[in-house]
Amino acid sequence: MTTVGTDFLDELEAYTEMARVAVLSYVPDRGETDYLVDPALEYLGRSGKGLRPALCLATCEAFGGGVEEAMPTAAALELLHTAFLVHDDVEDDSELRRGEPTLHRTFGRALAINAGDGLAVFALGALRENERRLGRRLASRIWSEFDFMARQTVEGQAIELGWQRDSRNDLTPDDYLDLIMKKTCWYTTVLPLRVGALIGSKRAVDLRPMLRFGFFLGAAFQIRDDVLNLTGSREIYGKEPLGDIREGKRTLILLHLLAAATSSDREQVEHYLAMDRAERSDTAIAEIFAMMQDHGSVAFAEEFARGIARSAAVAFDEAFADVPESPARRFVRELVPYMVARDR
Amino acid sequence: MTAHRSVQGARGVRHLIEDVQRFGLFSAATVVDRYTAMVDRAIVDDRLASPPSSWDGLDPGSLVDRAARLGEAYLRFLETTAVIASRAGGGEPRPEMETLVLPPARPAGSSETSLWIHNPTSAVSTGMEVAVTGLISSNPATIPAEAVWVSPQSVDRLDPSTSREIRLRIDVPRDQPAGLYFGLVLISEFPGDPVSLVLKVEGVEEATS
Repeated sequence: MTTVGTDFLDELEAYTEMARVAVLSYVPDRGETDYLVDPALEYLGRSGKGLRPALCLATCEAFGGGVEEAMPTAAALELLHTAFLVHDDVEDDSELRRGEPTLHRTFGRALAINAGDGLAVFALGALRENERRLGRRLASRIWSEFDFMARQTVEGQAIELGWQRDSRNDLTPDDYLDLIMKKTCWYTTVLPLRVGALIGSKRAVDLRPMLRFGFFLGAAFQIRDDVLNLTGSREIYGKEPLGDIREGKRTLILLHLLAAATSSDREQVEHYLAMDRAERSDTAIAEIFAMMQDHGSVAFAEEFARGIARSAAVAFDEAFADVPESPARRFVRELVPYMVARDR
Repeated sequence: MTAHRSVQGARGVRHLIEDVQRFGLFSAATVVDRYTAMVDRAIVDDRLASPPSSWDGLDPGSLVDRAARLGEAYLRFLETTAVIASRAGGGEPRPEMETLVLPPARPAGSSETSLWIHNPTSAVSTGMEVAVTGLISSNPATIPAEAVWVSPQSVDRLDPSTSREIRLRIDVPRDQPAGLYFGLVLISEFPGDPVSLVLKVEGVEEATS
């Protein structure tokens, strides 16, 4: 197993804690009804990884800025991420998030959806503070970056849900990579890197290498997530095991299985995917998982994640070539092995 | 479970890595390029934030710093080695793998370097095979595996506390586009732990300046 140093985990925790305080400052603690604030605070109080704000803050520091300059942006990232999670859990009807019942299972679907909307609105408040801290020009640029990211993310989510609804079985790894660029990478890694570098460098940065690094890093993250969904511990990973198979998600693992399976196995998989979710029994799910192992689909995805991570390591050198060595720069570099070694 | 087990073997893992390298990473590189163009169009003031795109405008001090850094990196990469002891026992592949950077080359030229395999263990290592994949860039363009020369391709026996030099040469095709190309050196002794290979193919302007 690839190891991740305790120093790195301590630094991640430190960035996460700083961002958590900032995030909570943008959630109203008075004057708003508990029907909104209580569910909105629920996920924020659970211990998430805090990757997105940490990446944004560390990149800003690495490029010469101070964490306080990027704090509203980092908070907006976490608020928007949490909003996406709430709605994602409703769309997938997931049972668990971070080891506890999902928001809609606790508060009901309607209040959960509204809380997700509220979290996105709170993110707008955080972004608005950029004008005061960074000036109108840079704040406007960050707004444009968020605008582009948000459009990519909701489009990616729509594509994934559409593939499931239409029972699409004709997809390739290209389709999958394009999907995860939209639905995951842009808001998880690409945007945090881009806005962190913009703020830290006062806009004097070439963002193209950052996009390359961000995509490889985010893809490694997503593929690892797909693997953890199948093989991770329920207690540590915090979601219901085999949830992606139950939902019929078109992960890289499933696409590999569809390509590698014998004709009879493929027929069985396609029959399974054509079922309504409620018809998918635990036995049927276990059989699909066994096929994924038998056909090397899980191993393929694990190697794919490692391959992408190797590319990310090379892309990091390019994106941070002119950035002097510092603890923040090292932290960002160490995110690469972390993405494929993490168990939650 | 037979298929699953078979891909865990050295040959299976090697093929798996080659498949990922050939198909997946190439696709990933093209995704990046597509989005680079897209985001540049969508966020129109990006060019305001772009730094000088060439050496123009850099002060002499930064040029010296950059040259020193490149020189240091180059030496470090030339010393890149594959150490058997640290990976004995089928250790898990590491994403932060070692990188071997070849000297830049121009189209129709070649670039050559060495990779050293050490055996600091007390056991004899036998039957090692060395293979190099083709190289890919985000252009997208490829340098085929046939353009890569490796010698020796196998090491029958490596005694304890001895080393063996592996020579690598890449003959850059005449019409090869400029860019940064990536490949993998695969050594059968540690199939899941390849060494990254990086080659910069210079454009005509760079090569003559």
